[in-house]
Amino acid sequence: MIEFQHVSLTYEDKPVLKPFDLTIGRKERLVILGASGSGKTSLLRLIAGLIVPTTGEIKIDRKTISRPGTAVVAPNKREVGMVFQDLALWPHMTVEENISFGLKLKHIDKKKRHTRVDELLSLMGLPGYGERHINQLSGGEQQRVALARALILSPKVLLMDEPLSSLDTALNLRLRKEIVRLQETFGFTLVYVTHNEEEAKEIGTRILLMETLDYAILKDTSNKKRTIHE
Amino acid sequence: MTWRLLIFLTVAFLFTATLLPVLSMVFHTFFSHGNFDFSAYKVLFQDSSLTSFQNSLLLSLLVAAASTFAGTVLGIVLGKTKLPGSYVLVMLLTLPLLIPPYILALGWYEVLGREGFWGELLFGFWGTSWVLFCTYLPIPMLLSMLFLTQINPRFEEAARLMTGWPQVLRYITLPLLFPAVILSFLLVFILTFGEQSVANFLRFDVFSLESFTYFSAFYDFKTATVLAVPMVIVALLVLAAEQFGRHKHLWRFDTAYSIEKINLENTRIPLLIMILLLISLTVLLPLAHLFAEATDIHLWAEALTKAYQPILRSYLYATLGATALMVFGFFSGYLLTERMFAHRFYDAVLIFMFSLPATVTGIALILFWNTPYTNFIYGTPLIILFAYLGKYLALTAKITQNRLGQIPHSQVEAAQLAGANPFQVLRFILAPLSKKALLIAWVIGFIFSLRETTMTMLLYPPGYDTLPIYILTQMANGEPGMIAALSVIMILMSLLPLLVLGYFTKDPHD
Repeated sequence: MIEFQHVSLTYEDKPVLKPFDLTIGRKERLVILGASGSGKTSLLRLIAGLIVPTTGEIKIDRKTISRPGTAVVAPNKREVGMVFQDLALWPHMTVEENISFGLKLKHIDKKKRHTRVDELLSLMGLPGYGERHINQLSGGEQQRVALARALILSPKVLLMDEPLSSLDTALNLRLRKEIVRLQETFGFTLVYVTHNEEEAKEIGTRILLMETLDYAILKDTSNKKRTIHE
Repeated sequence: MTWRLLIFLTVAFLFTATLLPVLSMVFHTFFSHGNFDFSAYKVLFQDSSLTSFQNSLLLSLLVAAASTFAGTVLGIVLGKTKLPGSYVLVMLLTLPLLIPPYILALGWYEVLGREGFWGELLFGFWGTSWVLFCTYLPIPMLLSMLFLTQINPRFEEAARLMTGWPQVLRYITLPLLFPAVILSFLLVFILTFGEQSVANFLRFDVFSLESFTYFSAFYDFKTATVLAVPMVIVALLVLAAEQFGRHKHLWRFDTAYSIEKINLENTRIPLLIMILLLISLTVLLPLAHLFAEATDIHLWAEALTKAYQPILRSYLYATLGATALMVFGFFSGYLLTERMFAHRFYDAVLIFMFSLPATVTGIALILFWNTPYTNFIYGTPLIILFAYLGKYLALTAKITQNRLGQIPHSQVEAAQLAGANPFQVLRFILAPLSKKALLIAWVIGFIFSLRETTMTMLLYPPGYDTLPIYILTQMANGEPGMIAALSVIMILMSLLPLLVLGYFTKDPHD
C-alpha cells in the first residue's frame, strides 16, 4: 500500500503539486489521467524516489520512504519498477544486458540470468531477441523490453509513464491487454500515467483525473472513494 | 553571387591558403634538382631522428592516457556532483590551457630549479610529461562535462531503481561517456605530439623540435621538410582514428539535458580537499611562484613599457584570428550540415589540418607563400591569420555545425516558403539562432590564437612579434624578474577570454 500524506512538490520555487493525500491499495491498477504539465510524471517520480517531496510524507506498507528533502529509502531499495515515457533503454547494451542488469547487480550467476531473461522475453513475445541491440528493435519491441526490464526484479509496484503514447493504434490496443494480463499474472501494484481516456478506462481499476495543480476522482471501480483534494 | 558559389569560394580559399602548402611541401621532398630522389629521407633513419620520434610517441601516449583518465574522473566529479564551488574549481583547472604551455614550464622551473633531484627530474621526460599533463588536463575534463549533458537522465534513473550511484556511474554513465574518452585521448595525443616549446625549454628531444631546429637554426629546409613528413603521417593516422570513431558521434552534440547531480554527503569535504590539492599542484604552485617573482611594481612598469606593442599585437591578431575563424567556421559548419559538395572530404581536411603539428603547418606556409608575388601575404601578418585558420578552423566549424544541426529544417523551409532567399535565411534565421554558438566559436578562436606560439614564431614578419614570442626571446637572455613579469601579464591577458568562456559554460543548458 502506498500512502501520500500532505505531500506537495515545488521545483525552482514553482509549485508542481499542491498538498494532497492519496492511498493506493495493494495490487491495485491506478491510472492517473491528465494533460501535459499536470504533474502526473512527478507523482510517479515521487513514488520511485527519483525526486523528494517539498512537504509531507510518502509511505509504502506503512514504512516512510520519503520525507521533505530526503529519500529515506533509496530508489533501488523500494522494490519499484518503472517504464519511462521515452523507455530509457540503455543504447550501449543488448536486449539481454538491458533486462538482466538488475540481476547482474545482485550477483545472480550468468546462467540463471540468461534463463530468467529468456522466460521474460518469451512472456513478452520476443523469444530469441536477447542478442539484439536496442536500435535494431521496433517501437513496440522496445516497449516490451522496457517492460521486461522493469519486471525482472519482481517489483511490488510498477510505475508506467505514458508507455504506449508513441505507438500506433493497433499496437497500443494490443499492449493494453497485455499490461492488464501481466499485472494479473505477477500481482504487482500498477500506477499508470496516460493522457488517453480510453486507455485509462481499459487498464485502470481506479482512475485519478489530474488537472494542473488540481485533482478529482473520475472513476473508482473499487467503491472506495477518497478525497485527495485538500 | 549565389550561396553555393560563396561556399565554394570559401572552400577554395581555405584549400589554397592552408592545405595546398602542406601537399606541395610533401611533394617537393620526393625531388632533388628536378629529379625523383629519396636520398633526403636518409635523415629519418639517423639515431637522433629515431630517438626523438620514439620520445615524442612515448610522451604523447603517456600524457594522453594520464590526462584522459584523470580529466574524465575530474569531469564527472565536477560536472555530476553537488561539490561546493565547482564553477570556480573548473575555471582554475582550465587556466593552464589558456596560456602558452612554456609559461607553466617556466613556473615549475621557478619552483624546482635546475639542480638537485627534482630539478633533474623536471628537465627531461618526466618534467615535460608533467607540464603537458597539467596543460591538457582541462581538455578531457571539459569534454566529459560537455558529454554528461548529452546523457539522457532517464538512463541513469532507470538504473537507480536497481542500484546506487557508484554502480550507475560504472555501468551507465561511464560507458555513455566513451565518445568523450576517445575524443579526449585523440586531441591530447595530437596536441602533445605537435607541442615543442615545453620540450625545448626543458631540454627534452622531441620530433617536432628536430624539424623546427633544422628549419630555423640550420636553415636546412630540405631536411626540415623531410622530418615533417612523419608528422604528416601521424596526423593522417589520427584522422583515420577520428573517421573510425565517426559512428560514435565524437563531435556531435544534441540539445543538452539537465544533469542529475549526486549528493555527496560524507565524501564532499574529502573530495573537495583532494581537488584543491590537485589544483595547487597543477596550477597554483607554478603560477604563484611566477607572481611572487614579479612583485616589484617597477618591473611591471618596465615590462609594460617594453612589451606594450607585442601586447597590443597579440590582442589584435587574436581578435582578427577569432573573427576569421568564426566567419569561416560558420560557412564550413553550414557546408557540413547541409552535406554540400565533397562535405566528407572537407571534414577530413579540417581534422587533418588540426591534427598537423604546428611546426609542419608553419614550415609549409613559409615554403609556399615566400615568393616575390605573394609577399603581400608572407611579409605581413596575413600569413599568421592563414596559419590560425588552417590549424583551428576544425574547432569553430564543429561548434557551428552542431548548432546548425540542431535547428529544425522546418524553420528554414518556413522562411523559404515566406520568400526568403538563401542570404535572407542566413541573416534572419540561421545566424540569429546560432548567435550563442558563434560567440563561443569566437571565444575559442580567440583563446587558441592568443596562446599560439610555434607557428607565430616561424611566421611572424620582422617587427610583428606577439607577447608569447617576445617572452620566448626574453627567456634566451632576459632578466628572470622581467620574464616573470611578462609571463604574469600573459596570464592576466588570458583571463579575459576565461571569464567570457566561463559566462557561457556556467549553465549546462547552453
